[in-house]
Amino acid sequence: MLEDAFYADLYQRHAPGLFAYVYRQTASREDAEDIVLDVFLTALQQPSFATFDEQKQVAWLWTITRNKVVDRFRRSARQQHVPIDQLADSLYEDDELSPEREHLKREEYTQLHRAIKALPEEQQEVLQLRFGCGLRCTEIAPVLDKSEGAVRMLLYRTIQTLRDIYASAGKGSRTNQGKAKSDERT
Amino acid sequence: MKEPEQHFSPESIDQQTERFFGELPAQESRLIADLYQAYMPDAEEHSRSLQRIWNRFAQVQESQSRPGSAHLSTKGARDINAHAGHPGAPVPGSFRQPPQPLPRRSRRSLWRGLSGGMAVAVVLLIVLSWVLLTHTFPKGSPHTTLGASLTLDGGPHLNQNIVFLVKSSESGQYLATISFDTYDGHTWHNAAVSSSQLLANKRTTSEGSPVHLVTQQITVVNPSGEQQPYIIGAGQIASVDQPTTLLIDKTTGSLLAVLRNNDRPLATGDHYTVQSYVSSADVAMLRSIPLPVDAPSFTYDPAHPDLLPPPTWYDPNILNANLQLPKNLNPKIKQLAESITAGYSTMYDKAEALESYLRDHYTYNVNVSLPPGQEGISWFLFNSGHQGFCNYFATAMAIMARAVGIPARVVAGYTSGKYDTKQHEWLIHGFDAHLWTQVYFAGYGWVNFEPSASFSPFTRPLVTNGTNILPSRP
Repeated sequence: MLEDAFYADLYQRHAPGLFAYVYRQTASREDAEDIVLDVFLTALQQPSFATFDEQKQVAWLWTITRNKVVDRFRRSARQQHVPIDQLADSLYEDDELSPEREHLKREEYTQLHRAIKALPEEQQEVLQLRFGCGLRCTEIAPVLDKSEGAVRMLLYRTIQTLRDIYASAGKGSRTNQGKAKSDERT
Repeated sequence: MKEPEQHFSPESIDQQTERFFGELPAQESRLIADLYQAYMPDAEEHSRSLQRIWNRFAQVQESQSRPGSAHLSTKGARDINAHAGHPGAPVPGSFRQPPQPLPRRSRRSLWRGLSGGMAVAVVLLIVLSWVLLTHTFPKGSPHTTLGASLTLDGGPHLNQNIVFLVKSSESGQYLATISFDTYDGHTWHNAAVSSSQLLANKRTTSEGSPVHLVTQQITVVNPSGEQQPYIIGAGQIASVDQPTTLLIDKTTGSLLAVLRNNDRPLATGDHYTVQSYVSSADVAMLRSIPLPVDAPSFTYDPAHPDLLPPPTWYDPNILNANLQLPKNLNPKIKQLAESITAGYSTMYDKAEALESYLRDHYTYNVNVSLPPGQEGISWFLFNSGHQGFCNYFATAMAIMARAVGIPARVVAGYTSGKYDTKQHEWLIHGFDAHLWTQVYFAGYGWVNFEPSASFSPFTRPLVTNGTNILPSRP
């Protein structure tokens, strides 16, 4: 019972980050799943693992993960995983939306798309890890092999860049709200 | 009312990029919401992978564990992972629930008369299920849950602010945002949702009768932080003074929630008038309705299209959806429900017995912590020290009711709040966010129950004289 809860908890805490890391390295979902499974099974079969303190467990998981990635892909150059290809483009295709609203929304969304695509690769990656994988900065750090502070700064700058693009599109929140209201009355 | 002042900063960037942080200016909030939507396909893939890995891991783990040990907890742990992120971190919505495929045609028996089509973006569903869940499960300690999955920092509903002012034609009405029919052992969601448009001031069809209309004027004071602009109403929403989108359970035709047709979240000063159907059923009427197992059956005969089902007939779709139970539910839950209800003959009295049992034997406490790997209701009923908060009470009643064959669901929303005698309006605070239970009575529709200890139970007349009652549905 305790053991089950222990591994469930361990998995919840660390699998998202480990998987993001492996997937980034391998660019193959199936391979990444195999490797992460392998890591946790290794932990399961390591009798002393559960006795480690948490810091050591984390370090151990990451070491094993990195080793397994290297083992498996020693010879293949790192393949690029382009996160942007996964971006949803079917958004707002709800045919219930009125044409004007749909148009507005689509325009804004296309803009976001374009803006993300124009970002440096590293910024695209941090967005993907934050919004696609749901990782926090401290969890993103080992994935990108950066310090937590550097990740914070990177994410902050990326968000600011996107924010400025939104702002420069002349859609300040207040004017936009006013606009939406007047639209409603038409 | 003042706008939130926070701007992005490296120190707070984690919280600020959480889904429902709620303290950013509108434009910044919208950017974050758009980013989550943009990365939704990624998030889905990510969560499916994590789920697959865990399933494989749990298989190995189970095969290695000694026979008879930890069976339930293994299952529970697996479920948690299907629906939870690591504590304290936001997780992609789909980490809980893969998106449902959305057929282009929907069955809308009750909604034929409504204008509009039926498409719903998958994204809407996912975003919605997130909103719902974050809404439904107020913030607990990181490991709490029924909602380990829903542990979001800065739970938007439990703040001390006034979120709505409500002028109501009838006092003491709870305000519903959305109902849920499917419980998987950790989270509530709706299995299949379609949408439909409702024009301003047009009526939906009541799902039960007799009902009466309650009219409410709602003013948004401090937006609750929900990304979805729910229209709140005293019961099944009948009409709104502006165009809205109805979210309808695809299999049962039940109205689940109503969203304002506007891309932005509710904002301070937003105002609308909403009418809701509220059940006028008295206790005598409800006592006359049999349990589904004792109810007459009915088969539609094309040769006799005018032949209507008997009044106490239950639509099998409604039963399927609202008698659903999670797999591997602790059998003790059913045993307990049976022992509580055994002494009562009518469905109404059985439901009331479950309600009273929870109210009388459990203590309301928001500071509870569900140990990881446990199914919430089993834990709440047997291992919590008899304490929990509304999510546990409402879910426990719904699940125990289902276990003894009573169709039930949970509803998220707000309690009636506090009455301001000077302004003659109800003040709804963030901390009034609530979850309660409804039971489906053939013909009468959904009827509220309040299993949470320390909350006032719903009052129902023993018998009514039939005034102020709308005619039965056609």
